Amino acid sequence: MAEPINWQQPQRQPLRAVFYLIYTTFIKLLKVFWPVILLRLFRTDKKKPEDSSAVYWLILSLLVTLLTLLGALLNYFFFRFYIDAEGQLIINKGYWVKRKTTIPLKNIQGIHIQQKWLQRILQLSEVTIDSPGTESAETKIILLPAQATALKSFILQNNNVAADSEVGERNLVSVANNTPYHTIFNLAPVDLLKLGISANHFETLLLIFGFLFSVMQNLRDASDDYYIKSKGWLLQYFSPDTVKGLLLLLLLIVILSVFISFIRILLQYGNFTVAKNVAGFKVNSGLINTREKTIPFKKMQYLKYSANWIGVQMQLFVLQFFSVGGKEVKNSLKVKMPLTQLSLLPVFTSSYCNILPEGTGISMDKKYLAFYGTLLLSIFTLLLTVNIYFNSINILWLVPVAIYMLAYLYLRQKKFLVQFNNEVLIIHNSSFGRSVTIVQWNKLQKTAITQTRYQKRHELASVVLGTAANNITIPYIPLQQALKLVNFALYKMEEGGS
Amino acid sequence: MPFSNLQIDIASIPTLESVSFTPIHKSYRKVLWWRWTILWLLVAAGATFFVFKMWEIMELWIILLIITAVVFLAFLHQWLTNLSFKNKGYALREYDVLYKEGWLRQTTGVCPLNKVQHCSISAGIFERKYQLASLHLYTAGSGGADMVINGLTQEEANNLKLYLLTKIVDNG
Repeated sequence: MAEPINWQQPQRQPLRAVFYLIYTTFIKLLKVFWPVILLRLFRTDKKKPEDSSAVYWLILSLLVTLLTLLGALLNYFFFRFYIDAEGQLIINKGYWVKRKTTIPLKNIQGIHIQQKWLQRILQLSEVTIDSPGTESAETKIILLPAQATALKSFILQNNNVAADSEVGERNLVSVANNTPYHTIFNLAPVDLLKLGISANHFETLLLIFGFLFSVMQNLRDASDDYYIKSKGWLLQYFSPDTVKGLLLLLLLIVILSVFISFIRILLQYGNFTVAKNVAGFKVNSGLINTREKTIPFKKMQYLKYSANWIGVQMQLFVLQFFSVGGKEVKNSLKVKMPLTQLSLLPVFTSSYCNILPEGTGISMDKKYLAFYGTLLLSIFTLLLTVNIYFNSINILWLVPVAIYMLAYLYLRQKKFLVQFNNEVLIIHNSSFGRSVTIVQWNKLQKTAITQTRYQKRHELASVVLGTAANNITIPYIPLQQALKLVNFALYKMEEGGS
Repeated sequence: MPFSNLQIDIASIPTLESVSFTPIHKSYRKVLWWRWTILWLLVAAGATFFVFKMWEIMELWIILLIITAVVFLAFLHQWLTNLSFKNKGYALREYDVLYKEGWLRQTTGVCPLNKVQHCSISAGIFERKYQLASLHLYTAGSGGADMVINGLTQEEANNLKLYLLTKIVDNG
């Protein structure tokens, strides 16, 4: 049996981590130098002799190699971490700018272990530690897989003992941490296919456009000739002026978007499993870059399951947990779990709340639709009038946009519902798809009631419920019900302690 | 300890409607006036520069329209600021702090004392001129202040801060 590691002794990352650090430093440098490389590659300056080009490449290669090695070695030799007697994780790093990071173990929000493709080859694991209060909160340590697991266990144990000794649950939590995880959910290949179909193809499309635009811009900066040639080549095949060209362009965009969406889903959700013990969830995912995330139940602020229109038709939802912390911590702890059927929901929510409220609740008033619908139509009419008066460009394409927005407002008002019981509050906030937020009363941090002049005239109000993760707004409900909701929220918050 | 799960009579819970708010200090209106003056002096300077640059290529009616719009917006802002000032007020209850503000959009925020993580006092140049200060309350996980009570006298702000700090320590 391997000897336990003494974490109070300053630790260095394993020697083979140098190879990984060389790779990451090289990627960083490539990001800096790639416009220069592109400029040189596509430059059509015939006056320069061939010799100068060779010298240029030699100098550039030497510079990149030197900087890569220097950066990686400095990163390796000046990185030390240890856990002091007061239960704080201390990380010292940097040569030019020395930095000492101190994270009290009890403040750690989550620890994740992941293996990227190179780390898998080198038999290394990356431990990511999230803590609140700092925006750039993520701390990454490269370790051997066994060391990574040992560090994670050590931190989790001390993290919970420290936190729970305050409420006298020491024994219970110690037991919880030593309890092994059991798998509660596996994503089957069919579910992966369904996820691919219901993926956000529009987002992928925007990513493709963004990438193409960036490439063309860089090409233009590097060489006008290549830019014009490339543009000409693209327009030759995909000219938006001809019906054939336009159809070809649309077809290509659709095929490319769907294909890339599938690849993204496959890479993100391949080997997706969720395991659970008394202390929290452990989520493993990733086809090439594997990722393991731990979500302690205590850190969960609220949860939300949602699906777009296709997802609703296919009964495929995404469940998200929102945690306390800065932006980066929130993002790193935010796990999107695919729910292939709603009957699986209690498996996840049972750790957060006991009974979900049912039946009728508070609905959004129809004045919401009247107000925003009138506002939308007024803006649209104004734009149309100005357009007709100045006889400028055709803006009739705005008609479907306006219809879509009106349909969105109508569906949102119709489907909105707030239900609550003594323990939790559920907010159904859907339009074309479905979105349901579940929040415990005692997770709320503050509340507010707001009224515009229009709402005041119609005895309506909006309620804002603040959690440590985000604010949740309940808009356009009757004033009396809004006051009841706020009074009850305050009662639960003030009763519940900090 | 015996388990209990008693039903709560919602009607018996203390209500927000019954709270009487303390208006903020009158001098804060002067602070707001100073801020308004500086903001609109800057806007006026920008508009003058723009008109001066465009004098030759722009038609007179467009220039007049810009000037009218700037003047109108400045007066509208001043009018709304005055109305908003009248609605500002705060209240301290046994278990929470309340602050209301706004006229076009009235907001009443409530921060339970057991959720306050820390608090601070700030006073800008104009607030210091009139011996005023603002109290900032922070709860867990928030990037900025969750509640800012403006227009307190420096003594009030300090007393409130001390009271809140005592409560924070008591809550552990």
